[in-house]
Amino acid sequence: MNKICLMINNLDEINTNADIFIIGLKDYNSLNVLELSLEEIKNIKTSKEIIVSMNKVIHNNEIDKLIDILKQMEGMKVIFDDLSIVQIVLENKLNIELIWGNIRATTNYQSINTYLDYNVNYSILSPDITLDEMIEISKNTKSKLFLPLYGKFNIFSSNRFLITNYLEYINHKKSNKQYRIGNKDLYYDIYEDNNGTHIVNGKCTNGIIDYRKVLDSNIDYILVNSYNIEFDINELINALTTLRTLYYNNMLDLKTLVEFHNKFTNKNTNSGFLHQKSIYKVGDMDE
Amino acid sequence: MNKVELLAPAGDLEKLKWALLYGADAVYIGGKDYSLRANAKNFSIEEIDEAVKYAHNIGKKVYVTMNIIYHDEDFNNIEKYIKKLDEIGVDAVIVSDIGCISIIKKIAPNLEIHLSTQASCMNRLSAKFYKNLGVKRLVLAREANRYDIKDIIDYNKIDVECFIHGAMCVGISGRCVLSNYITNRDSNRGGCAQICRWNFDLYDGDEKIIDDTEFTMCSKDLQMIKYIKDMIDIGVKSFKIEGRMRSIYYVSTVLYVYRHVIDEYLKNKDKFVLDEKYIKILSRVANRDNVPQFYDKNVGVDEQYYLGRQEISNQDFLGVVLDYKDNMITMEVRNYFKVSDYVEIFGPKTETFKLKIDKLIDEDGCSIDIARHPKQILKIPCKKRVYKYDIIRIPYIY
Repeated sequence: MNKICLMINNLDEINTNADIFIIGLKDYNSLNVLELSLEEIKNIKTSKEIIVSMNKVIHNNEIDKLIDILKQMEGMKVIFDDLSIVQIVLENKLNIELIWGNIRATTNYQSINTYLDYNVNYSILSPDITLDEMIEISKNTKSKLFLPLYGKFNIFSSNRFLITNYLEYINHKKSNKQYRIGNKDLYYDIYEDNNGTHIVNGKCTNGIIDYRKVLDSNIDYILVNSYNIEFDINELINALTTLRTLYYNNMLDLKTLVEFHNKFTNKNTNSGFLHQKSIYKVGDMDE
Repeated sequence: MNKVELLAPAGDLEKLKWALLYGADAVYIGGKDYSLRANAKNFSIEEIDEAVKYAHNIGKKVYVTMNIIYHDEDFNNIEKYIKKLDEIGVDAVIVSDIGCISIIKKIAPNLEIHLSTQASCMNRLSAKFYKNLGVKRLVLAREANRYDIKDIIDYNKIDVECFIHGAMCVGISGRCVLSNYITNRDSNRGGCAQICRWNFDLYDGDEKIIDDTEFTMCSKDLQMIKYIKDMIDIGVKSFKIEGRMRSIYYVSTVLYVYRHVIDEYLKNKDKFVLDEKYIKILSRVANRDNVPQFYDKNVGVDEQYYLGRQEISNQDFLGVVLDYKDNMITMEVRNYFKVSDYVEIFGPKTETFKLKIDKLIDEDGCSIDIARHPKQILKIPCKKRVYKYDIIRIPYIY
């Protein structure tokens, strides 16, 4: 049965009806989610599964500490990007379930299947590809997949501190508020952590209308990100669980799907790349 | 003597020949597909074949980039392409996608694979993983510092290639899709619209920050001339210049400098001192400030570029030598200059020297005062021997 995985941004969201939760491990995460220390994560009181995101690119001087941390995470599921994590798990024979979380690169089943050879049995599909591409991947892999269905996802990470640098340059004090960058009526949250700068998509992807297609494809998980969501997260998760229940009882009709989709639509939502291909050849641009 | 490689970009066959002439030991090129410069001219399979023959004939190498992040549709004809590259005898392919690496290992097991900087490898254990996967050389993340690089080399005993000059991504390579979401152009398949160089309004909460300098993420370019010695000493095998879409003039000038510095150091390590003129030349040919970036420090405001779109268009390139006979240079003009101006001439066999333009003679044998038309063919008197493909420019160092 399809499970609903919530990338949480507030610890209270553990009390929603999602099946699984993703939390970032402080200093090792690049997703736009709540970050906690390992001890704090381990102390969360829930009967539901928690997946830990450690999907940042790792510097060489972080390796020794990383080995120590992973040794304390046996029995957990970990999202990675950097292959040092796979190498450490393999070398130390750690009992950690790995989830491939370089969401820029999970765009084809060839790569996902390559990771299966290294006991990486889960992958988070890229939000940068179409729904048809995601479904095609699901038909060609045994990997368990997370499909990003709703939310704002990270679209940029840098090791530079771009807000701090700019404010220093113009001699302007930095505040604790949320920063945004804007260009022609599109605005993107930009924030810094200990690793650098991240930017989040300005639009919230809404793929609710496609949920039946996702369920038809037997994709294992859908991914929802609560980051700066403009709707009540409980209501959203409940809507998704309702749709799922209706589906498995053969009672999900298009009218209901549309109704639920529209309920969580506003001017700041769109379908992302679910129904739109990106382009890359635009002409000869040599100097 | 350490064997190190100077690796240059080549956007087409002409640029490839220039790069090899001006001191590159190897070049990297992109095919019509699978390359991260999808909108460059790039090489057809026939041109790749010609490029490889040309390079091998003079003892040099060609690497072909296949470093996009693939969607499944991109794999449709890839096996045929890989087999063809293998048959042609390209010296390596540069790849970041792990699925692509697997395919290459299966169908062309002897084709050497270099890991692209797009994979953002910068620690010894991810390097180990890739080495075990069959990768023979790592092009490290540009965020790798000196200690990262040294440790990766010492721990893995694998060839490492580092960028030494040129433009940099602001985001972690392969982890930026700003272009996708703002312009629908896929940055990881060669369509990057360089959003990081745009200006944006920056909001602190709801308050727009107003300043004469608009917010941008743009970084200065990379320049490692002062660290070549150190990089050779720690074991870097290949020194890579960025810029498949750059001009012949830019690449030739940059190559000329790094070729000289590498050779001077390797010839006499104990007595090597970096000549300041090389730094001058590199600064002059650049259209943005350039700095060592991550190599020796944590980067900050000094590594960012806030001058907006004022990148200077370089008009220093005056022309190219086509022939030399009877104390006369025959040249092809590129930018404006006139009689009584001083110019500099340099080339692979020509040490830089200064020349006063006493006379300009056009194709009809007439004396003219000004060279004003690009591609115009002119003759200039010159007692000092020069060679075809030498470059004529505004004086930098004299």
